[in-house]
Amino acid sequence: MSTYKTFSINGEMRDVQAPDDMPLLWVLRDLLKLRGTKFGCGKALCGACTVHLDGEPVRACVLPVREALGKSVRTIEGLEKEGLHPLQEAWLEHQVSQCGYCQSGQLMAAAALLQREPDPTPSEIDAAMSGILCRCGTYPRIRAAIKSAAARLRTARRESA
Amino acid sequence: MNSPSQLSRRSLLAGGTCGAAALILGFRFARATDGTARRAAIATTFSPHAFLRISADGKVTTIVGPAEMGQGVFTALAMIVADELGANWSDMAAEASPAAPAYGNPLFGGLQATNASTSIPVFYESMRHAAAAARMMLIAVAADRWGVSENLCATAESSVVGPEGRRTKFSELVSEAAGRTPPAREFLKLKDPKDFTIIGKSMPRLEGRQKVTGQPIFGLDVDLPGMLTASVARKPLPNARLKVFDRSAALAVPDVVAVMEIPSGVAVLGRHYWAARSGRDKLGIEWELGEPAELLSSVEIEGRYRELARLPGSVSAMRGEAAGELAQAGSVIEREYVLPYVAHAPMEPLNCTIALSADGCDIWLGTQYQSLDKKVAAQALGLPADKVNVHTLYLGGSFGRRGSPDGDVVKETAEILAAVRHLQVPIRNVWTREDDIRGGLYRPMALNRLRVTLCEDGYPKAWAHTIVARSPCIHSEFSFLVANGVDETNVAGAKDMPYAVPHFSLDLHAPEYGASVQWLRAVGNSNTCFAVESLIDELAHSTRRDPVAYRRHLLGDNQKNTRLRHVLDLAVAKAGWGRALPQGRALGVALQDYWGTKAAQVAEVEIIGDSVRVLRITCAIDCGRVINPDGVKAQVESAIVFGLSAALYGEIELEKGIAKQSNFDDYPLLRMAASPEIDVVMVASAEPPSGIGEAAVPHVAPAVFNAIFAATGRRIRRLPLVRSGLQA
Repeated sequence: MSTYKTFSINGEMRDVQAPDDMPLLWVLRDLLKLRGTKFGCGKALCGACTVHLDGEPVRACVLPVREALGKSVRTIEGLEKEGLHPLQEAWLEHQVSQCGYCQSGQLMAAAALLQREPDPTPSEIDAAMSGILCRCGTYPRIRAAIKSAAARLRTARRESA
Repeated sequence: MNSPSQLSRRSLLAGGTCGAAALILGFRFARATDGTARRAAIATTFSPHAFLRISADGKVTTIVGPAEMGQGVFTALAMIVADELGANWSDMAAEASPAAPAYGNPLFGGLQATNASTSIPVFYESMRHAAAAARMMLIAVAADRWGVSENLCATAESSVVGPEGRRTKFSELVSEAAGRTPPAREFLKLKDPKDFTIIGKSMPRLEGRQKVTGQPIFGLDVDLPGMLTASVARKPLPNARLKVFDRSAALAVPDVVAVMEIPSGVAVLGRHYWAARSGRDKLGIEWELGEPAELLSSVEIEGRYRELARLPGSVSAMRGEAAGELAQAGSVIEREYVLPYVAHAPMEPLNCTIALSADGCDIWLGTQYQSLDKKVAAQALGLPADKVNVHTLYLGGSFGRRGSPDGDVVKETAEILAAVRHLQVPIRNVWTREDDIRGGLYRPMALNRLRVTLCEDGYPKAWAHTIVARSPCIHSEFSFLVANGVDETNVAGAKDMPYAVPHFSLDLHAPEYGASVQWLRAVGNSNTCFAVESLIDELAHSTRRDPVAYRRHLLGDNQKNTRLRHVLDLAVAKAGWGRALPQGRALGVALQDYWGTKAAQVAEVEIIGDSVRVLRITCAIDCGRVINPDGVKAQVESAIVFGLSAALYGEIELEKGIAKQSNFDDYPLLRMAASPEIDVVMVASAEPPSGIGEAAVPHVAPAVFNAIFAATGRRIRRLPLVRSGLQA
C-alpha cells in the first residue's frame, strides 16, 4: 500500500506517497520528477542510477524507498547548489560526455570518490568507477577529468585553509 | 537553447520560404505554410533554408536532421554553418529537425535515417550552401543600407563588415533579409577552405552542459500530463502464442490502470513505471513457443552455417579464377572465423511516448529513423502521415538499435495507444534492460570460410571467401543495398579488401533463420575485418614475415591504397612497432577502409597465465577533412571501447530460439578497469570528409587477437575472447 513518506532530497524535505518496495529511482523520476537520475538496468549492474544516500554512492534502482527514510538523498540536480561542481567543470573541460546518458551516474560516483579520497590513484579511480558502465566509452576522459577535478579541489582546499 | 524538445515546429516551417529551399538545394518543405503565419514569423526570424534559422536576438540555430546520439553531429554541423556564415561560435545553437523530406538523407533515397556514418559526408556541402546563401543575403541587406557594393562587404563575428569600418550585427539585418530571395545555387560563393576559422578547430559539444547537469533531454525523460507508462510482457519469439495470463493479478497492483493484449504481447499500463512493471511481473504469463524453425539454438545455427559455407553462395565479387586455382593447388590454407550475435545495449533502454492531438499525434523519442517512425505510427493509428509529428530527443546511446528496420518500439507504442484511445492520455512505453538484450535485432552471427593458396613468394595467389550471415537490409527500406542475393552491408570490407590477390572470389549465403538481425555500429565490416585481418596475419606468420611488412607488400604501390598505407605507417610508428617488449606482451595490427574512412590500429596486449589485458590501442585515422578534431578523437575512443566490448565479451547465445543473456551480468560490457590507453593519430587532409562514428570499430578485434597470437602462438578464430578459455 502507498504510504506517506518524507525525505531530504538535495537538502529539501519532500513528501511522497509510494509503496514501500518502490525503488528510490522511480520515486525520484516518476513521483518527484527529478529525471537526472537514469534507469539503465534495474539490477544495480550499470550504475546509471547512482545517487548519494547520506553521502555514500548507492544504486537507486534497487534501493527500496523505505530504506531511504530519514536519510538524506543527493542527486545530480543537487550536486552543486549554484553553478557547476568542479567535477562538472572538469567534465566540460575534457569534453567527457558523448550520448550523456550515464553521465549523472558517473559524476555522482566520482563525487563520492573525491569526498572519500581527495587524491585518488589511477587504480583507485578505476576501482571506484568500474561500477558505472559507459557504452560510448568515455572512460579515458572520465579518468582525466577526475584527476583534474581532484587537483582543483585540493588547491581550493589549500587556499581556503 | 539546444534541446531538441524545444523545437518549435511552427517557427521553423513558418519561417522558411519554400522557394528559397528549392532554389538552394532542390529540397522542399514538407508542407506549405499559410501567408499569415509566414509574415508573423518573418518579423522575428530569418530562415532562408530548412537547415538554418537566425533569430532577431542573433542566435543562429542549425536545424539538424540526423540524430544526436553522442557522435557530436549537432556540434559538427553547427561548426560548418558558423564558419561559412561568419558567425561567432557563442551565437550557435542546434536543434533536432522535424521528420520532413527536407532532412532526408539523399544517399538513402531521402529516408530520414542516421546511419552508415553519413551525416558529415552528406551534409557538409549542403550546410555550407545554406549558410553561404544566408551570408550573401545578410551582406546584400547591409550593402544596400550602406550604399556600397556587396563585393566590398564580408561577414565576421556575427556581423556584416564593410568599407571604412562599417559594421552591422546579423541581428539587426534579420528582418529585412527574411524578405529577400536567396541566391540560386550557381551564384553561391563558398569560402575558400584555407580561410576556415572554425572547421578544423576543436569545439566543445553544444549540449555539453545539459549532459553534465542531468537535464531531462532523453526520450525516457518525457513527462506529459496524465501520461501512463506501459510495460509489455513481450512474446519470446515472433510466432509464440499467448496461452494464459492473469489480468486481475496485474490489475490488483496499486496504480495499474489497464492490461491489454497487443500484437507483440501483453501490455500493462500504470500511473508510473514501477506500477506498470510490478503489474507485468504479476501476469503469470505463459506462452506456447513458436514454430520449430524458430527454436534453433545458436550452436545449431552455427552448425548449419558451417555446412552452408561449403556450398557456393551468391556471388559478390570475382576476379580471375580463384576456384580453379584452388582446385589445382597443391596446398590450400583453409580457415574459418566466427562472430556471434551481439546486442547493441544502449544505456538508455528503448522507449517511446505518443500523444494524440486534435487531428494527429505527437511522438517523442530518441530515434535514428524519423521517416519510418512517422510511417509506422500513422499506420498503427490510422492517421495520414503528415499528421504525425516526430520530436527527436537526444539518444541515450543507440549504435543502430534506435533505427530498427521495422520501427518496433514506435509500432508497439502506437498499438497500445490505439487500444486505449478512449482514455485520452499519452502513453510512454518503456522497455526493461532484459527486453532490450533479449529483444533480437542483433548484429548478425557470421561464419567466414576462407581458402587461400600462396605463390612461391609467400603471398596469396588465390583467395576464396564465403560468408554466411543473415541480411540486415533485405526486409527493410534499405533493400536497395541488396542485389543478386548479396546485401552490401554483409560483404563490405571483404569485397573491397585492399590487398592485391590475382584470383579472388567472394560469395554470400544469407539464410533467413535464426535471431532477427539489424545494423549495429560498423555493421558487416566488423565481421569482414576480423576474417580478413586475422587471415592476413596468419599468412604473414606462416611465411615468417613481419605482419606489417607483409601487409605493406600486399598494399603495393597502388595509388588507391596511398591513404591506407599512410595510416598504417602512422599507427605502427606511434605504437613503436618492432620495439622490444617484456615477456608476455606483444603488438597486433589491423587495417581497413570503412566506407571511405581509412584506419589502422595497433593493439598492445599483456598475457599473464590465462588472463589477457589490453594495455593500449593506437589508431591512425584518415577521414578526409576533419571538422571537429576533438570530436573525431572522441569517436575513435568510443569505437575502440565499443569494439573491445564485442571482442572480449560480446555474445548472445540462443537456446530454443531464445536469448540466454538478459542483462549486464551475463551480457558484460567493457568497464573502466579493463579499458586500455588509447592513442589517436589524425591525418590532416583536404579530401572530402568521410564518416567517423563507426570507422574505428572493426579493427579492434583482429588487432587484439593478432597481438594475442604474437604473444602466445595461440590463434583465436571465434569471438568473443572469453569463450576461448582466456579471461579478460
